[in-house]
This record gives sequence, structure tokens and C-alpha cells, in this order.
Amino acid sequence: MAFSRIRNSIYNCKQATLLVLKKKEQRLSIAERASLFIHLLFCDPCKRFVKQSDFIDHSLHHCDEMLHDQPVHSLSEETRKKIQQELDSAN
Amino acid sequence: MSNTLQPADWIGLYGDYLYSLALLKTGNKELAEDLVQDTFLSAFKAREGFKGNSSEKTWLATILKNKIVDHYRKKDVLKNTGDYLADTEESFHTSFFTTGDQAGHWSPATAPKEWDTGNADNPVNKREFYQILQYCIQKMPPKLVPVFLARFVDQENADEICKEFNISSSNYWVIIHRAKLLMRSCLEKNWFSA
Repeated sequence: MAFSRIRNSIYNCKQATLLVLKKKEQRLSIAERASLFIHLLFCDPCKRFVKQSDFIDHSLHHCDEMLHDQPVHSLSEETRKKIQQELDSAN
Repeated sequence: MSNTLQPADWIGLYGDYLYSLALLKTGNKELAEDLVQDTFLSAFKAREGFKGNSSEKTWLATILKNKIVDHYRKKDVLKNTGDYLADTEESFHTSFFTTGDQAGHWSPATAPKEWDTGNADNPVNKREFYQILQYCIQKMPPKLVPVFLARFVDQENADEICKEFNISSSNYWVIIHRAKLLMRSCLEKNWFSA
């Protein structure tokens, strides 16, 4: 039972990718760590998933900074004026 | 860094930043404009309460963040999330993974391919890349979006998010897993192989 459960998770990419994400936030059990370790030894797509998931985390983590330094969108002149008027009348 | 507020400069200094952030998170121009206006007005009314513990920019971004969370809660986006996740489990599984005897492997079409994230051309520094990120967030099923944003853009932890949106820890993990797989494959399709 335990063996088939471990074997199932070792060969299962769906399970492995979930464990990759869980590992970022919590401590995995010994069985989970072992099965993930072995899975990643043999599974190239999941190895790429680990790297790409980190890359996504990194870019989303930095998007606040990025959008401050180089905003992707601009408020229209009209909207700026409207907001300024609202602020002035709140004063 | 001066930690006093300069409301007269707000729109010039932070207007486009907050608008870009709001658009990234909601994908809707009118809504993003309203959220930015609400943020400035709330901030202006609450200016006496600003303690200077954070920068003006961070303070304004936090107000916007809370407005967006309120927006999702008011719309009750995460209503019946458990049922939704159960109903869509099979179609989610088959769009990424194999079924049958050898269930749970990547389907050939969706297995992660090599990405070129070389330093010289690092997408993290490119505006176009954030437009694609925004597009991929918009393409996500709406029930996954608030949790995805709270976790990966606002850097909240699982306990906070489960409380904020009233979801169980197991649903939290299903949402994070699906959202990450969808985001990954959307970026692969629209940025790395485009």
C-alpha cells in the first residue's frame, strides 16, 4: 500500500508539480521529499517546470517595481483631469 | 525617502503605476480607472492616518490592493469554489495530463519545453512581457485569479488567503496548482515560442 502510493507519486507528473509548489510554502513529509527527489532525477519536463515556475514567481514578484519604473499603461488625459477634479473637490 | 504625503503630486507620480497594476489584476480599463480614482480619494480622506511607516507609493499600492480584494469579494467570485473545482477536475486533468493506466504524465502537447530566459534578453525587464502576463491572467478562469494574484503578486501566505476568500486549504492548493500550470503554458505559447 505504502509502496504503491510512493511508486504512484514517483511516476506521476501531476503530483510532482503540486509538490514542487507546496515545497515553496511548507515543509514536505519525508515520503514526499523522497518521491519528488527521485521523480526530478528522471523527469526532464518536470525539471523544466521547476525552473519555469521559479521564473514566473520572480517576474510576478518584481512586477510592482517594474510597473512603477516603466508603467505598461497610461491614464488618459481625460481621466487624469477627472480624478484631479475629484481630489480638488474633496479638499 | 521622505515619508510625508504630497497629494498634489499623486496623479503625476503614481497614476500610471497604479493604473498599470490595476489593469494587470483586473484586465478591465473602466474598472481599473475607477479603482485608481477610488484609491486616490480614499487615500486623500485617510491622509491624517498616514504614519510614515512605509513610503507613499507602498501606502497607495496597499489601498489599491485592498480595493481589488473588496471588488472580488463583493462580486463573490469564489462562491461555490469547491463545486466548481470538482466539476472541472476532469477537463483540467485531460488538458494537461495523460489518463488511463499511466495516468498523470504530461501530455506530449503540454509538457514544458525549454525556455530561453538568457540574461541579455531577460523578459523581466521588458514592458511587452508584462502585457503578456496581463493577457495570461485575463485568460485564466475567473475563480482562479484572486488567489493567484494574492499569492504571486501580493506575496500573501496561504493562511491569509484562505481567510480572505473563505476557502479551504485543499481548494487553495488546487487553485494554485491549476493557475500555475495555466500561466506556465500561456507564457510558453505566447512569449517563449512566439
